[in-house]
Amino acid sequence: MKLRNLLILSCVIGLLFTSCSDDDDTIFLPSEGFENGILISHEGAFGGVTGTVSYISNDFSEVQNDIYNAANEEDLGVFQQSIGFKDDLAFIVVDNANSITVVDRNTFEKVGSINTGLVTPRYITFFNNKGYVTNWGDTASATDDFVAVINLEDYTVESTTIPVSEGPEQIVEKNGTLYVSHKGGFGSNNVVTLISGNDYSTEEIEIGEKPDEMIFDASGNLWVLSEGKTVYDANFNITEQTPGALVKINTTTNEVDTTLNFSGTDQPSLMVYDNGTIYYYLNSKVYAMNETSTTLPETPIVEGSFYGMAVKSNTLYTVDAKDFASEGTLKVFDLSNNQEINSVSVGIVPAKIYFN
Amino acid sequence: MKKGTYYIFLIIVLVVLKGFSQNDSINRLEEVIISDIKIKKFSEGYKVQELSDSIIRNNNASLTSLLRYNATIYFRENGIGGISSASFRGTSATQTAVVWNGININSQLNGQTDFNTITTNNYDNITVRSGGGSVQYGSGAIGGSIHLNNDFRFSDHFSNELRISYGSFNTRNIGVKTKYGNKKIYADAGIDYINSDNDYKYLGTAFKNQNGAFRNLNINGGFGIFFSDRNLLKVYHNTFLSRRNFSGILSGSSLSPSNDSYKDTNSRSLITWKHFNTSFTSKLSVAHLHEMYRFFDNKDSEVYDFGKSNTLLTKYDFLYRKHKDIQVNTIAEYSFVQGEGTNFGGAKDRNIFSGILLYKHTLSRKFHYGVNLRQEITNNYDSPLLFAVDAKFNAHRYYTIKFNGSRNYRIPTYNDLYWIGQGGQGNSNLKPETSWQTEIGQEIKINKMQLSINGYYILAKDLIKWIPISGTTWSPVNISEVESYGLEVGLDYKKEWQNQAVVLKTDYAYTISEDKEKKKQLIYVPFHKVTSSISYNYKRFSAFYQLLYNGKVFITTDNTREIEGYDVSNLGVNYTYLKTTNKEFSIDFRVNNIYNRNYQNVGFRPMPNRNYQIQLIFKL
Repeated sequence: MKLRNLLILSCVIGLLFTSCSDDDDTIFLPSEGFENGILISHEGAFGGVTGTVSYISNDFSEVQNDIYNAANEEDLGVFQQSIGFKDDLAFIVVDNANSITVVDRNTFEKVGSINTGLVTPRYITFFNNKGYVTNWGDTASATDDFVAVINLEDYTVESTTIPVSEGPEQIVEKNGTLYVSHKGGFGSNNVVTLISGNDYSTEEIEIGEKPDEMIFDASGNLWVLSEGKTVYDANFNITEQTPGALVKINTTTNEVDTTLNFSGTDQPSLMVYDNGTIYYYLNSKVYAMNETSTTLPETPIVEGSFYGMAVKSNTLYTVDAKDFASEGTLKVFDLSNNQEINSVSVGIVPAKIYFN
Repeated sequence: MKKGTYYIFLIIVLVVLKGFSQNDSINRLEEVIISDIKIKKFSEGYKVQELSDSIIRNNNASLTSLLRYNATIYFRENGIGGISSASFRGTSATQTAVVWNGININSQLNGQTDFNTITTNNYDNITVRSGGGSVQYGSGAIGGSIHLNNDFRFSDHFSNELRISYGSFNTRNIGVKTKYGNKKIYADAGIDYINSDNDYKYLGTAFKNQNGAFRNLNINGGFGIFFSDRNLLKVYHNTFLSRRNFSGILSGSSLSPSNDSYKDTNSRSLITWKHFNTSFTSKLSVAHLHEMYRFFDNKDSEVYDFGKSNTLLTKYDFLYRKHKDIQVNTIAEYSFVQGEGTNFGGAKDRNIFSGILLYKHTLSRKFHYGVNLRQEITNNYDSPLLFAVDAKFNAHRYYTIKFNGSRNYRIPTYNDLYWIGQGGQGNSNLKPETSWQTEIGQEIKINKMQLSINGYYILAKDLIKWIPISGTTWSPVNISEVESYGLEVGLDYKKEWQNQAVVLKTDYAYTISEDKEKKKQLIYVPFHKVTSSISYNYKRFSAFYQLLYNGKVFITTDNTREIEGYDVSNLGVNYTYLKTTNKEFSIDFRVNNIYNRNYQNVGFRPMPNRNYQIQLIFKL
């Protein structure tokens, strides 16, 4: 090959691949109504994958990933923790970004955002036209955790915050009382904090280790699922592994009514409720328990690797986050025969399922 | 294509160059320079690229920056100054060995070298050896190895150099180097300090690189003495101290604040006694390596996590020459490592004994070949027999063909074996990762132009991967297999006439690196990377233009999400005011990212906007 040809070849190689850097045109999806369907909240991942929301129509015929970016041409950030809904609005909580993005729940167009006053926010609930957001604070500090009060008129964090103990996780409201489960952040905790929605006075109820998921049953009782904790010695050998517990709190007296302890080292995680039945996830299996039962069920109904779970109309919706670095799957089971009826590929690290 | 202008510039230069006739005018002083010559002696069939001190000078002082713009290696750098790991020929961060004056210095704790903890200024040359080299260079030399060398010059000289630079983001760098030598003695000392606020703008946002400040202190020293004609004693030392704050990430439209800080304390010492004879050279070396990191979750607090290791290495090297054509080198190496840390549950030792045999035969002036073997014995894991064969054939005045094939390894790290902590648990039953690899290289050298084309294949087995063993605990296992193959094309061209010179260097790498099971490209391995530079010299003036194109990388294992490719260009000019035989005063001015590209090298971590640097160099 002649020198000239070699030089030209070198240029061509350089040119061919540099021209690739001209980006493709962005494709804009038309904003459609998300009124009737399933919303999946994805955490995103370190290394560059933002949190996203997917929409899936109730008949599974339509799947739209990253509907927030499609409507607003921007990203939500990591790690997208949860979404709270109030009236026509959805509040998307992103913990590492210390932000809550407020969107119209039917179009996902951005309405506002809260970018100051939140420190590792986790969950949001609403009472008396205010929002209440659990915050871990600095994850290395056990004493700076708080519940932020959100002014829903201008989407700002009010100056009064409610200090709480380590690692406040989920937050729900009943009869003017805010219930906060304290999973304990990166450590562990074992309380539920009751906050008066009127004067913000607080009271703690000690329950099992690492309480996380909370649901209200048909009679208005609060069920809390404690995961149980693992204790290490100075050399990080496991010295103790406590089992989880399912705890019923009477919301009239605000006292523990029933505690169902798991056995051995069983550490359950997810819990959902529908029509008199509590569903929880333990050792890669889903169990169903009648709310009046005094013992834990022994036979699972469904098996699988699930990172999030929801139930509606005798149908179980689950998401599998796989290796936390590739697209996850939404799997749907008919609870009349516990058979899988649908499976849909969704975004990166699907974590929460909501019905719109 | 708007971006095309400067590529057109490149083409024009290339076409113009073609018109000039060739001539050769490199004059190098004949001196006794003693360096790590083994790399030249026993790597005939490999691609070996040496980065000279002028290239080192034209780049920022970190090894990341030097290699990113001058080699085919891809870097995953968490913003300027942050943790930086290499992917060489599509391999993982632990599969590139960094070799300091012949000693492998990859961390015992995590198996890698953080390329932002190596200051380039005090090395006389830095060599990139592509391909498997575990027989000679130990664990991790799979993609290739980077060699940091200090030369010992036994000739009468005394030189001093002072470098002062100031740049954007309040980046201050000062370096002093002094060298003395005569026929019997050589001594040098160098100190380099860099301090930067590193608070660059995130283009297109209202944010800056918060909590990114860093300061690094690097000290090098060397001493050598011929205490008789046949006996040489050499001492090398390097200390690196740094404190770096680690910036937060930019995700969505928010910046996550960070308060993290990281301290590195590394030191390396080596003493070598060399005895020369007509038919053999014997060399006894003792080295001590110390590494320690401290991670502060809150930079204002004194609470930290740490990991450290001390390595004591003893090596006996015997080189036998039968005529000029056959060289046999046997090496016995014993290393004792002790590591401890917040997450290792007490100090852990490891003893590794290695026996190495290198054989080189020059069959004719045109044909060389080599056969190398290594076996290790250790109490911590079963080690495979490693080998390498290589050959070089100068088929024609203009054409050389090279071949090599080897089996290499990467030993389990302290983290892999001993980690204990919430969420993770080491596995003491791990075996080393191994690779089978082969490469064919061709070189065409016509006067001042050199073209090289290398194709390689690497099958890496038993790769150590952390997987969940329960809902909350991850542990490493020897599970995955990765197949990497690719093509590298390099073109160097040099033209000198009267008092002008032009040097052009272009390297292109095409890399496929797939998980065998998933059949997907590994995350953070670009298919394409191009580095190109052109420099021009006229009397006391010189200028260079440097281009990097980094293709897209996938960031999810199913290849559904990616970070788009980018190109960055730098421009520098240099003027030497005063130049006598032993005095020199020069000034450098450099613009980085001249087109003010907004790019990310790792997701959520924007890289610096356009920035400037001025450097004064005094030599006496």
